[in-house]
Amino acid sequence: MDISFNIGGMAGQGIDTIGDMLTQVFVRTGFYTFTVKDFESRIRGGYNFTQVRVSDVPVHAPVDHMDVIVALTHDAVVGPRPRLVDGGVIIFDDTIAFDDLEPCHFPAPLSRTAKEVGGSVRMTNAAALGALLSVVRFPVDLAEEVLGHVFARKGEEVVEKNVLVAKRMYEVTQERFSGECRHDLSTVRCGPSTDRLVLTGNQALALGAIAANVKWVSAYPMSPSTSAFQEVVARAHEFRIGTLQTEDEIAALCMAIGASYAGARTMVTTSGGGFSLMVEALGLAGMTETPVVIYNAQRPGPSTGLPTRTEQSDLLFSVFASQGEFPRVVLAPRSIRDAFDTAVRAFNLADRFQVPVVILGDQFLADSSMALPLIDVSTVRVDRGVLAGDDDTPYLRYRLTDDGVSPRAFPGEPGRVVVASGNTHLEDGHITEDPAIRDAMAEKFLKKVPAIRDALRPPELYGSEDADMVLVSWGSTWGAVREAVDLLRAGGQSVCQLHFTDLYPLRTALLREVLSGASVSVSIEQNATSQFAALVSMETGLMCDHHLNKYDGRPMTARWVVDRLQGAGIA
Amino acid sequence: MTESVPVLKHPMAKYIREDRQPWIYCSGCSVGIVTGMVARAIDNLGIDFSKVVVVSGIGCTGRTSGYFKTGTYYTTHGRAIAFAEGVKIANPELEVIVVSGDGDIAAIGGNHLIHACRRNIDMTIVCVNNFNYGMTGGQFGPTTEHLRYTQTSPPPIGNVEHSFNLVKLAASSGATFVARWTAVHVRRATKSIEKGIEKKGLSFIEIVGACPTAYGRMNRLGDGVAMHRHLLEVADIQNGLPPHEAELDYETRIVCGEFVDVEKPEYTAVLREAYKKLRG
Repeated sequence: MDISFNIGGMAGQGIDTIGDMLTQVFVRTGFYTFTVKDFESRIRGGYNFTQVRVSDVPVHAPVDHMDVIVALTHDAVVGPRPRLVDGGVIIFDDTIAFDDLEPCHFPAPLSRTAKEVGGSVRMTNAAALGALLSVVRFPVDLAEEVLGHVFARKGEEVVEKNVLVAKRMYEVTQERFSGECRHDLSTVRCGPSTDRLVLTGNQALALGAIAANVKWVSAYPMSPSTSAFQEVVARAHEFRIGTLQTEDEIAALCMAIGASYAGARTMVTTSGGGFSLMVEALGLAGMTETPVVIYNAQRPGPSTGLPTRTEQSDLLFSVFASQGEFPRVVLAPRSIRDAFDTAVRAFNLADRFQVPVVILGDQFLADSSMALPLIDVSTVRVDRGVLAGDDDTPYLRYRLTDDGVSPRAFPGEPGRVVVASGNTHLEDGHITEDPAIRDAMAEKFLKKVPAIRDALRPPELYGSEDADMVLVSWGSTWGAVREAVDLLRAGGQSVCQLHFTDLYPLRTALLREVLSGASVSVSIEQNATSQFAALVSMETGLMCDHHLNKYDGRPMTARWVVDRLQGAGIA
Repeated sequence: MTESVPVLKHPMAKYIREDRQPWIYCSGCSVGIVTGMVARAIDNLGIDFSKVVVVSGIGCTGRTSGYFKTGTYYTTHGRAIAFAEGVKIANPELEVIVVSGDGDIAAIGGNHLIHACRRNIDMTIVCVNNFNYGMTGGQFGPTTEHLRYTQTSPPPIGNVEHSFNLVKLAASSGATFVARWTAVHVRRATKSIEKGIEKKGLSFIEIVGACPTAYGRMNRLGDGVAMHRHLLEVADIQNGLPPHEAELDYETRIVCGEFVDVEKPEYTAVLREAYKKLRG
C-alpha cells in the first residue's frame, strides 16, 4: 500500500486541518505517513496543497503523482489533474462550478452535509475527511474508532458533530460516487506501525535541542525556520529556556554568544538571509571559541528568493562564511528523526571543540512531517566539553594545549577572570599583536580540525560498494535518493547511494574508496551548482562524472531522480 | 643619581589590569577618565567585582573592557549591547556594564541600543561621546555636529548630516535611567554611574568627552586641556529637566544632569516572576 492524498485550495481554507486529520487517521490505525506542505508566501488565497503519503512501510519523501485529491477551489480541481493517476479521484464541493466532468471527478455535497448534519459550514473539513476515506473504502469500523480522537481537541459537543458529519459524508459517498478508485482498502486491518509521534523536521530539531539542554535561543522570525523557534518558545517555561525575539539576526547571534559566554548552551534559528546577517558574529564565535549552534533552514536564494520553498544552496556559504580562518562544523540532517539527533550532536560538538556548529536544514525538512517511534530521551548524552578544574590557576581562557581545546570557565566564578576578545589574543584573553602568539593561536585552531573530523559521522553507504553506479547525496534528499536506488535496483541496475549528513570538515576515506571504485558517479543536489560535489573536489581532487541538480524550490522525489538519470542516458 | 622612592598604588589599581598598561589612549583623551569613573562607581558601591562583566564594542572607548580585571568581552563593532543582553539574561546574577563609544553604540549598534532600552534589560551603558570615530583616525559619526570637519566630511563643506542627541534617543526608546555629564564632571558622573548600576533596569549615561587628536585638531578646538576646560565652561547642569530639552551644542551649551529616573518592570525580573507563577 502506498497512497498519495492531496488536499488543495487557497491559504486559509483549512487544507492543513484536513491533512492533519487524515494523517492522524492513518497514524492511529498503524500506517506510516509522510506529509509535505506546498504553500505560497501569503496568508490568504493562492493555490496551496498538502500531500499525505500513506504507506505500510516507512517512507521519507513525497511522490509526484496523486491518488486522491480533495479540491477546495476550482483551481485545485483543474491544476493537479495531469498528476492524477489512472484510477484516481478528485473530490470537490458541488458548489464549485466545474462542468468538464470525467469519471475521476466527484462533486460531493461537502458544505451542504456539514451544514445539514453539523449545523455549520465550518465542518466541511470533516465532510471532506469522510469523503476521502470513503472513496478508498477505508473500513468504517476502523475509521469510527479514531475519528473521536482526531476531533478531540475541538471540545466534546463539536467532536460529536464532526464525527457525525464525517460518517454521513462517508455514507453519501458510498451511495453517490460512481467512479472507480484504484485503491480499495476495505480489507485492511491495522497497519504494522505502533508509532504515535507525528513531528515536523523543525519540531524534531527543537525537541533535540531541548533534550540536549539548550538554555538559550534567540531568533528573528524567518520562514522556514520560525516554527523551530516557536516550538522552543512554547516549551520555554517548562524547561527553563531563555528565548528572545531580537531586533535582527545580528543581535540574535550576538546575544547567543553572550549567553554562551555566561555558560548557557545556546542556539539561533534562521534561514539563509538571516544567516547572512549573522556572519560577522559567526567570526566572533570562531575567534573567541564560543560554542553556539546555528540552525539554518535553507530556502531558495539569493535575497528573498522563494520564502516558502526548499533548496540546498547555502552549503558552501556555510563552510566559508566570515573573514579569516577558524574551525567550524557543518551538519545536515537526513530525515525528520535525524534532525533530533543532529541537534543533540551539534551541541555536544560545539561544546567539546568550542566552535560554532551550523545545522543545514531546508524548507522540505522543516515543514514536512511523519510518524515516528517514540524517542527515548534518557539516551541523550550531554557533553559540555572540558571545563576548568581547581588546579587551573591562574585561569587562562585560551591556554595553549596539545589538542587546541582550552578548559572553559564562566564569568562570575570567584577567582577566575574570564576574558574574551574578538581581537587576536594572549592565553589570558587580552589583545596582542605579537607574531609568535598569532602563530600559536592560529595553530591552536588548526589542531582542532583532525579531532573534529574523527568525531563526525562517516557517510552512509546504501547498497553495495561494488555497485557500478554511485549516487552521492547529502542532507534532506536522503529519502528520495534512497527510494530511487530501490527503484533502479528493482529494474536490475547496479547502483548504490553514498549519503552525507556531516559535511564539514569532510570525512574522505569511504568517499575515496567508493568514488574511485564505481564506474559512474553522480552527485544529486537540490541546488544549481553542485556545491557538495565542489566541496568533494576541493577536499579530495575527485570529480563526480555527472551532476543532477534540482532548483525549482520543490522537494525531490525518487521518480524525479530516476527520470532524470534515464533521460540523460546515465541509468 | 636619583633615589628610588616607593610609588603609592592608585586606589583603583585593584580593579585594573596593570600588566596591560600603559593605556593606549592619546594624551588629552577622556576615555581614561571615564574608565576611572566606572572603577570608582564599582568601588563606592562595594559590589562583588567578580560578578561584574564589562562588555565593549570596537573603537577607542571599546578598549576599556580589557583594562578591567574581571570577566570582559571585547566584541565586534556595534554589538556590545546585544552581546550584553545575552549575558544578563543567561545569568541575571551578573552585573553587566557596557562601555563604548558613540559610533559603536549609536551608529552601527543603534538598533541594538533602542531595542535594549525598549526591553528594559538591567544593564548600565556608559557611552563616551567624543563626536567622531577616533580609532580609525577621525571620521564623522552619528554624533558629529552639523558642518563640523572630519576626515570624511572635510573642509570646505564639513558634515552635511545632523547629529543624534543620545539622551533624547535613549529616553524616548524607554531607558529607565538617563543622564549626561562631561568628562570633567567626574564626581557627578561617577554618582550617576552608581545610580545606573543600582537601577534595576536599563541605564544610559552619556559622557561628553574630548578627542583632541582627531576631532579637536580638525575643528581647531584646542588641545586636551583646552577642550576639557571648554566642556566645563559650556556645561549647564539641569537635573530633572525633561529629556527632550537636554540640548547639546558643543560651542555654546551642553545640558548635563539626570533626566530620567523612572520605574518600569525589568526584563529578567518579569521573566523570573512569570516562571515562578507558572511553577506554582
